[in-house]
Amino acid sequence: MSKAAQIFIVGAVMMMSVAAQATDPVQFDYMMNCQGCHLPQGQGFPKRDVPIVKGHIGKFLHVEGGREFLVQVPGSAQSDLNNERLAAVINWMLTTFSADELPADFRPYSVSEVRELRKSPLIDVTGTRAALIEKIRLLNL
Amino acid sequence: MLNNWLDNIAEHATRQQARFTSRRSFLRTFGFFLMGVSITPLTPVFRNGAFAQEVKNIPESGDPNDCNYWRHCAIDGFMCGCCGGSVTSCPPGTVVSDITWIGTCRNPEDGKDYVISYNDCCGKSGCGSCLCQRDEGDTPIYRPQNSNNLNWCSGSQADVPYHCSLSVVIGVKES
Repeated sequence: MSKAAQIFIVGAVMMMSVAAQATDPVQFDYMMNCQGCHLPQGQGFPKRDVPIVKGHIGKFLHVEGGREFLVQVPGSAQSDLNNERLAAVINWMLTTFSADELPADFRPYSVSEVRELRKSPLIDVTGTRAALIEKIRLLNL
Repeated sequence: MLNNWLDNIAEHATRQQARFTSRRSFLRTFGFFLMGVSITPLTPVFRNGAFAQEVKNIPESGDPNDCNYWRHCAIDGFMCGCCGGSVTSCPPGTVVSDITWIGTCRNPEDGKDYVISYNDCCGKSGCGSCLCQRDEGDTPIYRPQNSNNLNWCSGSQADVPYHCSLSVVIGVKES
């Protein structure tokens, strides 16, 4: 191999590392719509009542009403995301931040499921959330 | 005298040093100390201040302390680079607000949209220099999750006093 070719290959490899890698589109939606408060690793900010996602969100799928809640909670239902992208973000959050807590028969949210759930708004958000968390606590997961 | 014990310790220490060290050995030891001090900040350890993972290898142009700098497209506040910090780090005496406003800005160098986190630095009163208000993509306050007109310091451990704002790149939009 000629010297020029070697230099070219070295240059090309260096260029590859130079371009910044595009963020996964679903993670991009998480960044734009959720991360400002729930933070990059889903750690939340309990001091200011921002719920923890990491190691927790999957537990909601173990109790009755939990599956609906994750879509109907205002941060989800009232986000700028359409149903396709909202379903993708919630599924991504469940598998990325809470894979260990998912039930054995976990099935991802479908777009039509998200569309239907989004039609009925959640009125008493804090009350519903507290009741679900109490149910989760009793399960002793 | 009240401070006698301190005087005694100081006197003892300086006499010991004068008796047992030569000037050159002092310079040598002191030189090692200075070298250590200057090298320590360069070591690749985890620093809590580096809260957000800044994306690497971004083509850059422009002055980060100029309001027209590409990253500031949705900023509303004082630029931390003018306040003793930088575009990605808070000035001394302030803490970063974890809860933040996130938007995108187009980088003129490569035409890509980058995800920018506008974290506020909190704990001291307003910086007062280099106000920059561009507000692109800002929403009215009744959509608070995308309004930059909030004091995001209310989401920090330092609470409300707002000092200045950062513009940290945390992602790249797929084009």
